[in-house]
Amino acid sequence: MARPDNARYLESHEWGRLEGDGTVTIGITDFAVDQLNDLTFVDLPEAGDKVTKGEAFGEIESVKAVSDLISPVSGEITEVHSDVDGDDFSALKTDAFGKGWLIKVKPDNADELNDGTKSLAEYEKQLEEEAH
Amino acid sequence: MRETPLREEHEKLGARMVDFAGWFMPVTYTNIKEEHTRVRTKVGLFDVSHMGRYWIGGRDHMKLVDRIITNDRASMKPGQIRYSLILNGQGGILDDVLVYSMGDEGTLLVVNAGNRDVIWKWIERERKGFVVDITDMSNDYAMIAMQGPESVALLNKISEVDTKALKYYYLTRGNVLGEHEVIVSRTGYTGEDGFELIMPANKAAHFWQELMNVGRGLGVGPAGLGCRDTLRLEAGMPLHGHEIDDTTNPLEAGLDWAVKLKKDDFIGKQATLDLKEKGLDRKLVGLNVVGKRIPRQHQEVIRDGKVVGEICSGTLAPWLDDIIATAYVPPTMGEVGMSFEIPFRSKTKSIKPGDNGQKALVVPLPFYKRPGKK
Repeated sequence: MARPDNARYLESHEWGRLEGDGTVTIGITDFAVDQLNDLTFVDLPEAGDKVTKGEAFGEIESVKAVSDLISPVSGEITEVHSDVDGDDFSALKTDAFGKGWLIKVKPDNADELNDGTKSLAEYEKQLEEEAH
Repeated sequence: MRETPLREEHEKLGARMVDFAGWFMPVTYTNIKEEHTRVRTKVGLFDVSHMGRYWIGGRDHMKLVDRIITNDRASMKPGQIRYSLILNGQGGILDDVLVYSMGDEGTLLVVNAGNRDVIWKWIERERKGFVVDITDMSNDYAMIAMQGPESVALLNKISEVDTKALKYYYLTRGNVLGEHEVIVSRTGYTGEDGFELIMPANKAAHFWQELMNVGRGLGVGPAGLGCRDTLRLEAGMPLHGHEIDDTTNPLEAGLDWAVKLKKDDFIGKQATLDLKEKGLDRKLVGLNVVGKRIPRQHQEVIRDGKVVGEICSGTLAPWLDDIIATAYVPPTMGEVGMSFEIPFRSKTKSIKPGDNGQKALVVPLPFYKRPGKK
């Protein structure tokens, strides 16, 4: 799966992409989906809820563990991907950067998306290092 | 991190490797569900070389073993295997082990990877006054478990061992893949029929490759620690560090059958007798969870708004397709059908307004029994 180079990446394997309408789409990477492997549950917030950069907005659960979902920006949630919220992971598994998106956020400050996040090249370097 | 002689084989198969009790081990090769199902329906191979294998020989080996284990070594037939506990003086569980009787020659103890050092030191401490020789065979030998209904057919293809004569919880030493004196035991940790093989460490890779090749027509595949945990939990088998540890005792864990209170003194006997007299504070139960979230170790168990217990293990049981868990609750709340709530950190849509958490009902243990087994 080709990872988009117009998205920003977190060390904790979330991605965020600034869309043409000014919202930020947030998801988790194909690497995270592969590592979690046996997914059992995704717990997402609701539209209208606030998210804070660097803080958890939901949880993703696999047979082995529960992980926080971390937001790369602060702002208000405009949309939640209801197909993924719960226990249908087909979109996450096949298209983590497209149909597998989790939430859309209207950011307080869109520039924040670049603060402390990684470019695709930097993120892929991290993955290489984790493999060793 | 320590590694087994099969590390390269796991990596060749594309395993996800993790740190398990200080060992670099495969957690999955494909995914838990597929590997779990393979063991329930065909045959799966597990690397269990990380477990400790301690040989106790010499004149007093039976006496020493009977002092440190709760089950009865002296009454075992040669070639018999028994599940047993090793207790501390307070009756807490240091480890659960398999005891292999090699007749008068000696006893082999197979101990959990995470407790290797604790148990070795325990044996060293307790051996004083006994004429015994003890040997740590763990690193010189490897161990492969083959588990599942096709494991008999697989073993028949590679060995001269009479699988019909080898009963459940017995061992034999025989020729497997041209190697003499391989220890073959009809044991496992999955709830399925199967065998565990102990071979010299430098033969392990050859054994693994041959089992994979020869077993292809039988549907063999590698199975990681991920499904080892889901299989054992479905089968209601305790895992040290979860259902049992040095603060739990065999009675509350439902393991009284492995504690022979009528045999001569053994470490932890008096404490266990005292506890029996006094009565239990809690007991281990199986829970079936209504909802989608998996209870995790140490999560609270609530009844009538009060914390009454704690989760030991939880999983999405791949074969039963249910969320199951084990927990300690007061003995008065252990009946089948008793209902509890398990709260979650984040909001969960399956929890109705007014409820404190996901509902969980007591069900009989084990959760799963293989067809035809009593």
